[in-house]
Amino acid sequence: MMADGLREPRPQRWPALLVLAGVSGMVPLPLLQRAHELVEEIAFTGRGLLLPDGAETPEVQAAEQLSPDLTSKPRLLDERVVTLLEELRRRVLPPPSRGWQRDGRFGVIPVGGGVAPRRREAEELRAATVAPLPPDEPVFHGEQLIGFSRARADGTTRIERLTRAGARLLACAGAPGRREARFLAVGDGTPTLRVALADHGVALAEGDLAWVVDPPTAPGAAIARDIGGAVIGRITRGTTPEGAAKEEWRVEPLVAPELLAEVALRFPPGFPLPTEVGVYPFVTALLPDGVIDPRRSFRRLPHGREEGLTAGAAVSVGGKLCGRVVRAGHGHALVRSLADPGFRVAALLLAGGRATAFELVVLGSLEDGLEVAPPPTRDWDGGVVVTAGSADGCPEGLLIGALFARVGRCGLAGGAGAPEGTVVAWRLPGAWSEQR
Amino acid sequence: MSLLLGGLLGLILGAAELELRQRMPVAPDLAAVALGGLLLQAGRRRTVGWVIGLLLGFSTWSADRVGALWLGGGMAALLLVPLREVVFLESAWTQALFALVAAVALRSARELYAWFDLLPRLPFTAASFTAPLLAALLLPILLRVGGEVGRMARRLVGWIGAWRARTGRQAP
Repeated sequence: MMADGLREPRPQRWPALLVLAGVSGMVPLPLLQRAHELVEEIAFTGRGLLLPDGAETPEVQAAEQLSPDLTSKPRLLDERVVTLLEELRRRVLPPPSRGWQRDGRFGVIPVGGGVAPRRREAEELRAATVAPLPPDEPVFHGEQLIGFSRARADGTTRIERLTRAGARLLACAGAPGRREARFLAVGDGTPTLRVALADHGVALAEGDLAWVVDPPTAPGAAIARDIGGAVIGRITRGTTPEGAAKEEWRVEPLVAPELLAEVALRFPPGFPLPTEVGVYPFVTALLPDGVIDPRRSFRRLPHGREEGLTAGAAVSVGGKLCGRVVRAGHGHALVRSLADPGFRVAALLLAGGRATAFELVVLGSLEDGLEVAPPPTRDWDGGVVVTAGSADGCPEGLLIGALFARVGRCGLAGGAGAPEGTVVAWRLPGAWSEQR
Repeated sequence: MSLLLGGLLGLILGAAELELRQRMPVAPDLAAVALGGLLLQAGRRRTVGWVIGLLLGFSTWSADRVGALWLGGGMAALLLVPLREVVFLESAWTQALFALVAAVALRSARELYAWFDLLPRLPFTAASFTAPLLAALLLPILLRVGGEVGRMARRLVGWIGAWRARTGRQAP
């Protein structure tokens, strides 16, 4: 038997397991990500319990005394932004004279939800709202049909685009009343629709308008899909191999759904509109930051999960976006400021009389503002940027700032500095909704 | 228990580093100091709990993900635990090397996370270089001071014991 002193040392496996635990945080699996967040939030709660700092300051006590009347959403947003958004929203709604709303009504829903437009899937749009949406209803942008809402297995609703592979729609193109060619618009996963089984004898021409034709329904059918006349795009010539005997025609949408900020969805009677269900404001106070790295910009809130705050909740000061909660423990929450490098938020660019959805990414700071990644449009200089609604606790219409061009860079004025006013954290609907 | 104590140590060190950074232009990476110190004693079974708890507690003061800290701690441990068998652990140079490697591993893990877009890429500043160097400087000093304090405490206990034996009275 070998003496204790001469025994071979046991190999230590824990370093490899610790590396594995660290690597698991990089795996984009929701379960693993949630597990890491849970561990972080438990530790963050422990920090708040062991080292409470600043939770009883006069600002915090004053916030807790504020009247519940302050928690009415319109008063907490910038009036000018609200007016501008309402004006732009009117263009999103289809004209009521077309009768597409049937016995229901159209409601505007934001799309995008924190996903960069280039990464948005070609087959569906993400509805950035916490409100429930009705399935199997048409989705419009003005007079253009974008797609249909479809129910997911988990109970949520997605917006399926017309260009989804396998989607078919009876359509017509040409000059209305004079030259009409019926065809089947087939989605094949590309940004345009394929024209299939077009009528013989009627010539299609490049630039012709294409619109939907309601399919014939059986006599006495309870529900008819009433979207006839909705525009789906213009006819364009497809790319065919050289020497091909037959021309290929395609339908190109009038607006690129990737850049849409909002779409209009038909809501059946009795179904609440997203504007009637949303995130709720909560008056709180901002405490100094509590992170070590001086290159980062963080603040803290003296309230946490016990008040319904979760990661993703927007924090605004006087109607202006200040940051978003990244870690919510019990009794306090960590807020990532707008000025923090790498800060991302789903935003709307209001410029040139239209709204463009994009993901605002803060790259760093400039002398007179913040440097941000330029939006995917040309005329962004001078445009106003506001938040787009998102499903994780960010309301639509919080002012972020104005964009300006600076020697090849895109700057955001008004993003840096500490704004003054009532500090409001926006939380998702929950059991506390009727409370303070 | 060691996990909880490690977490408490991480919380205290995080608070101390924040305080130092607010008061001084440069400050040592205290997580690396503690990690290096713990890895010098990696033969103990409780070290695992201490290391995990330390990094978890420290992460509450950091804007980085806890996974990045665990990855850095694991990388440092993977390098330094086998190294313990071939170096003289009492040497100040070894101790400084342990702190330096721990600091570099923590930063490398953070950069790896940033490379995968899980953390923002931050510019390198003077503090990016001074913090690991100060950590390397601090660990041998702390261990020497700690050793001296321990030796003095033991000597004091010995004196008190001798005094009690000589006089037959209780210590004041």
